[in-house]
Amino acid sequence: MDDPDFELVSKSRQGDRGAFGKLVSKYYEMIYAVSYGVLHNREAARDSAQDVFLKAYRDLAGFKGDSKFKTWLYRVAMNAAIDQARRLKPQISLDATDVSDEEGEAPVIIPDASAGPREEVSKGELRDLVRKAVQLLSPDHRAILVLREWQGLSYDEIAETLNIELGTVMSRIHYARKKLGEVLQKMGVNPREVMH
Amino acid sequence: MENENQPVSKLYKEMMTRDLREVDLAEEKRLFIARHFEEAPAFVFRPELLVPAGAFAFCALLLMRVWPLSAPLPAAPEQTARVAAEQASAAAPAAEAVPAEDPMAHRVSVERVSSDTGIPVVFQKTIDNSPVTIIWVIPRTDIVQGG
Repeated sequence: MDDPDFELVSKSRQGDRGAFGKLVSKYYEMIYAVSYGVLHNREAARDSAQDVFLKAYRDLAGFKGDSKFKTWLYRVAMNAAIDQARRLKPQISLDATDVSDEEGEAPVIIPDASAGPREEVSKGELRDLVRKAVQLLSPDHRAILVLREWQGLSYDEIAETLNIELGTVMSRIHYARKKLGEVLQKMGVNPREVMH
Repeated sequence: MENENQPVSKLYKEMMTRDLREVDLAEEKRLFIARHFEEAPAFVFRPELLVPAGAFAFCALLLMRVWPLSAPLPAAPEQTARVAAEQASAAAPAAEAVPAEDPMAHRVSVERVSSDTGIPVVFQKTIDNSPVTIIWVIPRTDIVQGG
């Protein structure tokens, strides 16, 4: 497999911390972004991303080179972020309404926007609403969303990263987007309208 | 399926772009790498060795008369010692002809130095015919760090 990081990984395996430092420098933003995409908390994302690099350096002997180093690092980061997200309790607002989950997971709770669609939503407010809506998704769906929408990974790459079937990738992406749209609508945001 | 969800995707990307823009990742990254993955400095520049190395340099400078520690030795000891030795030799031929005041007579010859705690450094210099030998041990990193 043609891995652009092969040389730095080999040196790192021999204990060259400087070489691994170059890998950290190359992938820090990427790992922070995917951690943030799952956790949606700056401090938690920073801690998780940094733990990922420390763990990756320790466990480098376990990296057999079956996949690219970048893919392996994605996998370590996703597993760490998903585990941490599961440990954290979700914040639920008091004026919330239950909505059953189509994939049979625990029900998500969506703030009720009984006043109907909002006429005007400021950009800052919209961003807060999108973030809240994403946080209501399960960690697995947040993970798949950040890999697809933010990192732009192909379905195959996501399947390899998360070690799941291609069909599962497709169904989870579809579900995550659909659920996000529904949650936003419940919050009074019509994605089609605000983007025009 | 992709087109249908385009507005949701755009909203998501916009939220992520703005959220990530607010974080100073460059500084965070620099500190993290400096703390955990900086290339090791050259041996003599390791922080744990700077104090003993500095003390060693200070002692060496001190003994090189930057800051004299003792009064200078008596002038022309060689001539006096030689004449005294000749006189002593004439008076008592069996006696040893070693001038008592010649500091070179007490010269220490260091052939081998070893230490379990670090790297020994030997400094030798003759100052005013007085041989000076300093043996300094730079502690090993693992011992300094308690590992």
